[in-house]
Formats: sequence, structure tokens, C-alpha cells
Amino acid sequence: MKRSSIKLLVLYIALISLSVVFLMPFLWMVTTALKGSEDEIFTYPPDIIPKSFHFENFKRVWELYPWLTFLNNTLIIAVLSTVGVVISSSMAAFAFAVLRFRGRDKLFILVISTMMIPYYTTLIPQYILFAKLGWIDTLKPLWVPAFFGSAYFIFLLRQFFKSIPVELYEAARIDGASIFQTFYKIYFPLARPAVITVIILHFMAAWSDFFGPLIYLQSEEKYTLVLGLNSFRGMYYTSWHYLMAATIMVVTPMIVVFLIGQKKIIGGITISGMKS
Amino acid sequence: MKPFGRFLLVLIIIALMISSLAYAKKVYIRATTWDIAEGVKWIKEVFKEYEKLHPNVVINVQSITQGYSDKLVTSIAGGTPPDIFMWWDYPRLASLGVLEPLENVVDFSGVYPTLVKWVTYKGHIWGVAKDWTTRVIWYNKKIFDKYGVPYPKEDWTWEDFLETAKKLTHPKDGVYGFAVVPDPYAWEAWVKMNGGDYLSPDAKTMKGYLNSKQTIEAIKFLTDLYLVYGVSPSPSVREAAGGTYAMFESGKLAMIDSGSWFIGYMKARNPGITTKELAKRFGCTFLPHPKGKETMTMLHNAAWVVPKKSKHKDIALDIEKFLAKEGGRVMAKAGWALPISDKVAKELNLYSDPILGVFLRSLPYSVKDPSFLKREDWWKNFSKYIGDAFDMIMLKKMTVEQALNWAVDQSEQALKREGK
Amino acid sequence: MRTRTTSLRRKEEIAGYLFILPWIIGFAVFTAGPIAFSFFLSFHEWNIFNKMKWIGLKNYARLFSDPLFYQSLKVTLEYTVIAVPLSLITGLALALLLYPKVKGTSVFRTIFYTPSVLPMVATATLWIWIYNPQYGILNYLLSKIGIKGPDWLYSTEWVVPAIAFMGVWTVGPNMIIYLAGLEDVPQVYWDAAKVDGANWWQRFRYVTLPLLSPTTFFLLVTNTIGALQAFTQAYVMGGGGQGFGAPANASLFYCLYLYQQGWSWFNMGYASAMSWILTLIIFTLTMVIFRTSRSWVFYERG
Repeated sequence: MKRSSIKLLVLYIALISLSVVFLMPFLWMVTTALKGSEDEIFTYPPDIIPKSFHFENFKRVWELYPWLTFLNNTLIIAVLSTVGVVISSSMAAFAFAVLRFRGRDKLFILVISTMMIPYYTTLIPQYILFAKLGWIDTLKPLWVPAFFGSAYFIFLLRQFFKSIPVELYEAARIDGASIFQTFYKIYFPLARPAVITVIILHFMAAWSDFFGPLIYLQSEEKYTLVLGLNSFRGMYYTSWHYLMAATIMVVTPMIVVFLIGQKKIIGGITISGMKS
Repeated sequence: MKPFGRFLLVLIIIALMISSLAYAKKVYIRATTWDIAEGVKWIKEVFKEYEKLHPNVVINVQSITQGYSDKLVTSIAGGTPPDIFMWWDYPRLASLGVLEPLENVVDFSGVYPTLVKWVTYKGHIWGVAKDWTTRVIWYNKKIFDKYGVPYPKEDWTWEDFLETAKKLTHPKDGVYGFAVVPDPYAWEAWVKMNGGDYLSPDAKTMKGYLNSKQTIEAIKFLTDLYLVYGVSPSPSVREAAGGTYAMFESGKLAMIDSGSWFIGYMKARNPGITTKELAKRFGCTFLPHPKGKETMTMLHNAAWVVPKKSKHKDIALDIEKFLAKEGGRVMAKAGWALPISDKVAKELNLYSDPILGVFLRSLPYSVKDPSFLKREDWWKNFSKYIGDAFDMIMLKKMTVEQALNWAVDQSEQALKREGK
Repeated sequence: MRTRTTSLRRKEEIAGYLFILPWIIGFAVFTAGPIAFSFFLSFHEWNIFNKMKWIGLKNYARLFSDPLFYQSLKVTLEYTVIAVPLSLITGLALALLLYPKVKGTSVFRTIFYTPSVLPMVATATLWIWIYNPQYGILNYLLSKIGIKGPDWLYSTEWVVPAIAFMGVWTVGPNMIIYLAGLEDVPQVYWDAAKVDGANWWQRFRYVTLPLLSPTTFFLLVTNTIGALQAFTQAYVMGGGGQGFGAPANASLFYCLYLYQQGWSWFNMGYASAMSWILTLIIFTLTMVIFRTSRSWVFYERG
């Protein structure tokens, strides 16, 4: 065997054995969702394969709630807020990383500082604010703020923009490109892996957010998928097989989004071509 | 016709049209509950009865299970609360002036006096019970039969209880007699029936009460079941069995101290099962009492309350009136919950029910002066210290006496710190 | 010439403000108010529903004599010290494994990411099983090598490390961010190092790590903030989900205690004071990281 193929073999062994570990929770969910009763769910050691397959659990879960309405609401929130976050955060990140203006670093510290305050202490004033705007029981509190940037993603993108040699900016400017063109035509495409990462991470966060929709939505026709999902968790009693069936329905689209999205991270225009 | 007569006629027609329009205009009421699935179904059934009587009212029930209090608290603070909602910790909300007192609007004469007393705080009545449960000892008949142990009587002592639990403990078979689950609220009944208490009568301190001889004795009795006699599974063994109920149901645990929730648990798993059918496999009985003393129990009651800022307060209050009058008939008839009115219980002949009868008969034995009603502003802190002390005992980090003294110390220091 | 540069600099200055304008508006409208409010609150007694009462620094004074405040701080710091390095190292290791573009990479990436998209309840239940001292797989494996495992979630000594170890499963975001960082590194650097005869470790140590330093810096800051604010993990796992801080406050995380004070006991003023102390701690730590970053973070690859 050649050395490179031994290496490849070792790599595959590592990847496959780790896959077993990382697939465990999902597999457990699938088998739980197909089980018939609690007795089967809580046995030690847990049965990997159900005694009998209860596909009707999915049917039952599907019938209980208007999932398509929930899906529609979730999509509105996830898509709009992702668009908002990408545009606003990348612009701010570009300014913080590349442009020189007075107070830049102090403002950047302020951006980071907004992440430091525990969410629970600003929740009530925030709620009152949205109530004053008349946004309670609408989807707006869940996507409009995204258009004003997110500290986390501004920070992430700033790190990537900062890695792009500043000579590139200078050169583009001397060639007569406007600042916006430099951002839009050069920096944005160059940071593609990071931008795609932002899209994936934010889309998933918005999709699986529980607390925001819980606090701001009231009527069932405004519910998101995750709120629907949590209806299966009682304070005293949880129907695990239904909960897991619903969870699979809710998370599978996210896994597909990830599968497609992460491919786009690879093969961005790399800087190397320009620099070497 | 005279012009005036014609004018009057037009006026009447217009008035009729307006009133019929108003009649047709629906009012939407928002109600919130933490119940799910079948629980929500029966709440909706109850409200349907109200809607039948008031065709212009539509009651939307929102079920929130996780983060219920977070959501309620923010929405009340933000001025957009539901019109009526289920709550358990009324003293806390009531004392903060958030709730509407009901005693002048609702006729409580048909409701069990104990239930009314447990929602009375600072001289006002704050809610109409949705349903309730006392704490009882549930037992699994199959395990008793297997080891030839007679079913417990309703009048039994702590010694009887310990003996029974010992006889039912067979670690080889993985079978335990009783599950010890430390819980300051639930254990108050055990403490009080032994003549102990958590708080002084004026609720100013725990000193001399939580660490009194009687309280120590009661807590020692309960924790010794686990620490000394080994009749109780450890938390991790219970967890491995899928929880206390699952372990009890599957025949690995002979007795549990719980409420009527177990009926709901069984119903969720065996749709349509009746209490008579349930009684073939499980029984329940009063909590045991120290020799020569009377038994007591703790009441758990969820109630419908109306926030002051309800948008349709008049209708919400009218619903409360209806609920008190209805007395829990719809849910009781369906076998879903215990009625809140003795009239309904008698009408449905529930006293003769092998399971529900025990709950109904034990209701008068509810603790007379529960701690959480004594001092709402500080009870959460007290109960945290008590709970921490129980943890220390169960982890064998302290003896009962040390732990309870430690809790008293902690609470005295905190009281002093806060200047209360 | 001079005027040209100044006008260019002026344009850049104006553009800078324009580019961050959306964030500034959002900050002014949505964030600044609530933050100022909570700061203001920390000097008051407020039970959410009634009028506030000015009490000056009393909340802070109470805090410093509250044993549970110190306990929760200790728990949270212990968690942070374990969880942050663990999740950074695991994230990087997985990213390095997944970087080579071999067949099936994207499937493996997705598999490694799945635990991160599952709701915490689902993964928590499984962890509670794994950690079960009697029947759990972890103590079973330990017994095979002759170690008697502890009671994990029921033990005051092990509950925090146990909760921190859970993080290795949900390291997906770190992994993907490191991957993006690796994608951003020009292949030529590795090729050059190879030509120079650097071995695997040397290439990792002297090429990969420095080039990833901006990413590491970002993850270090954000993961530290996240760990110090950890809430859900503790809420779901402590004492096998037996309640706040179980057993015996050994898993009373800072934000759990803050939540309990503010949302269960309605001591919102006290909770606000707690959150400002935490913010101050996070701010100090972040500034320390920022200061040291000058010596280990390399941005421009000119």
C-alpha cells in the first residue's frame, strides 16, 4: 500500500468511528419515534431496534397540529432574518475591519459588549418596547431586529475581513472603485466561506429558536414549528414517541439545509490565486 | 301615523339593528393553561358550555408547557396578559396586586371550603379551582400480592408503613417498597402530623420550628427510609426506570407518595381507562400517621385567575362565576378531574369510587395553615433552604439535625441581610 | 496631492459611519433602552409589577454577602475553565479531520453537526442515560478498565464537569467556523511549508494555528461569553433534571441563580445587579483576551 492510501484509511477509520458517536442522538430519536409505548422506550440497556415499527406515530403527530402553517411562519422568520443579518452584519463588519474612521475601535467594543448582558435581564423592557410598537402576536419581533445586525456575526465577519490583505482595498480604490463597490465586489465574495457560515448558523438559530416565539406569539396561527413541537412536552408527562417523531419532522429540513449549505463553503474564490 | 310615532318606530328599528349587530360581534377571550393533550381537550369542553350560554363569546385556549411562568410574567408586565389563566402560586401574584379579587363577584358557596381557603390570601379570594388533588399513598397491588403483604388500611401508622415498605423491598428482584423524593412542599404534611412545623406561627422565623424535635423526627423518619432501611431506590435507579411513575407502574416500586396526577399519567398511556379499571391494579390510601396522632395531607390546586389588566375583565369574571357554579361537573363526569363541588361529587356518586373516593375523603385532612400561605414574600427563600438541607441529608453530607440547623442559620442570616 | 488624500480619508470616514449606521439605529432603538433600564434597575428594588424603589447600592451590598452568589460564581467559573478549552480543541480537531476533500466529506460534516441541531431535551435525556451510575454506558466502560465511576449528575463533585463534557457533542458551530477559517487559508502556505520539509506537527504549529488565530480569537471570546452565561444545560441536567442547582446547589450556575432571583422570586432589581456584575466580569475577561491578542493573533497574510 502507498503511504497516502494508508493515511486515507486511517482518516476513514477515524471519521467512521466518530460518526457512530455523533449519530447516536439522532438514531436514538428515530428509534424512539417508532416505538409503541413507554415500556419500550425506558428499558436498560435501551433497545436500538424497536420491537415493532409504529410509523403511525408520525401520522398521528401530523394530524394534531397545522404544521404547514407553522412551517410557513418559521420560513418567514428564518429567511427574512437571515437576509437581514447577512446584509447588515457584513456591512458593519467591513467598516470595522477595513475602513478607518474616528471612534472605530471603541464602537466595536460597544458592539461586543451587547453580547455580554444576560438575556433575561433585558427581556421585560424589550417586551414592553415591542408591546408599545404593537408587535406582540406578530412575527416582527423575531425578524425585524435582524436587519440591524447581530453582534456575534459582525464579530465573526470582521475577523474574516481583517484577514484579507489591506493592499487589495488600496488597489481597488486607486483603480477608481467606490468603497461600496470594493465591499460588494471584492470583500463580500472573498469572505464567502464566512458568509455561508453566517447564513447556515443564523438560519438554524432562527429555525430552532424556542424562547423568542414563546414570549412574543400568542395565537396558534402564528406559531412556529418549534413551538408546535414543544406542545408534546408536558409539565408532568411527556409522550416521548410523539415528541421525538415531531422533533424529527422539525430538524430534518435543517439537516438538509446544512448538507447543501456546507458544500458551498468549499470552493469559494480563494485569495491564493490573487496573491501567489 | 303621526310623525312622532313614525320617528319612534325608526328609532326602535335602528336600536334593534345595532343591538343585533353588537350581538353578532364576537368577543375573543384568551385563556392560558399548562395542560396538554387530553387536559386541554377537557378545558375546551368546559368553555364550550360557557360559549353555548353566551354565543357572542369565543374562548381561545392556549397551551404552554415549557416556560409558562416566563411567558405569563412578561405578558403581565408588558400589559398584554391573557384574559384568564391557570395559576398555582396565587399568594405571590395576588400580593403584588396583579390579580382581580373574586369574592364580590363569584358565589363560592358550592365549592369545597378547603379549596376556597387555599386560594384565600390577605382576606381575598383569588381564583376558582380548576381541579385539585391531595397527596395519598398509591400502591401497586401486584407487588403486594406477590410477596403476600396485605394492602394498607386507611388508618395506618408510620411503624405499619415502615414494616410494609420493608416487606416489599427485594433488591434481588429490583423491587423497592417506597420512593423517597425530598420535597419541602409535600413533606410539610408529614412534619405537621408529627406536631412539627417549618415556620413560627407569625412566619417571622424558622428558628425553633424547622429544627424542633418533632420536625427533626419526621424528616429523620422519611430520610431513614432511604439512608438506613434502604426501602427506597436511589434517584439514579428511578431515573433509569424512566421516572417514579414508570417504575411504580412496571412493578419495581410498591408505593409512592403522589397525587391524582397518576390517573392522568395512566390515562395518557391507556386512553379511556376508568378509575374502576385502574383500581384493579392500583390502590390508594391516606398518608400514614405517627402513633396516636391524626393523618394530614397537602393539597395541590390549580386555579383560574383573572389579571387586573385583562382586556375583557367583565367576561372573564363572568366565566369565573360560571366555573364556580359548574363545580367541575364536565371534567368530573368525563372522569378526568376531581370536582370542586361536593354537590357534584355526590351527584356523580364519586365517594364510592375506589380511587376518587380516597381523594374526596382526605380533602378535609389538608394541612390547616400551609407555610406558603403564611408568608408569600419569603416562602421561596425558606423552601430553598429547606430543600438544600434535604439534599445535604440525602447526600450524607450532614445528619438531619445538622442540616436543619444549618438551614435555620442560613435563613436567619439572609433575613438579617435583607432586613426582614 | 495632500488634499486628495484628505478627501479620500474623509470619504472613508463618512462611509465607515454609513456602513455601521444600521447597527447604530438598531442599537439605539432595540438594545440601548433595555440595557440602560436594567442598569437603572440594579439600584432599585423592583418586583416587576409594582413601582420601583430606589435603594442605591444595597443590591450590590447584599450580593457580596450572599453565599449563593459566591457558590454560583464558583460553579460557573469551573464550568467555563473546562468547557471553553474542551469545545475549542474538539471543534478544531473535527474541522481538521473534515478539511481534506475526500469522498463523503460533506456527509461526515453533516453527521458531526446533527447533535447541534437537536433540541437540548433530546440530547439531555440521552446524556442522563449515559451518566447513569448503575446502568449508564460511561460507568460500564470505566468498570472495564477497573475504575469505579462516580454518581456523575448526583454528585456535588462531578456534576459540573459532567455538564461541561456534554458540550463535546454540540461543538458543531465551532467546527463549522473553524472549517470556514481553514477554507480561507490559501493552499500555497501548506505547499510552501511542505516544500521546506516541515513535518505534520510543524505545519500545524507554525502554519495552520497562526493562520487560524483570528478564528480562534473569535471563538475564544464568544465561547467564554457563552459559558459564563450558560443556562439551559444546567437547567436540564443538574441532578438529572431534579431542579434548580441540584444536588445541593452544586450545579447552581450563575445565570440559573439570576433567573431564580428575577423570575421565580421576582427580585428583578437584585437580578439586574447580578447581571451587571457578570457583565463586568465578562467585559474584563474579554478585554484581557483582546489585549493579549496582539501577541498571538495574526490578521494580514501579506
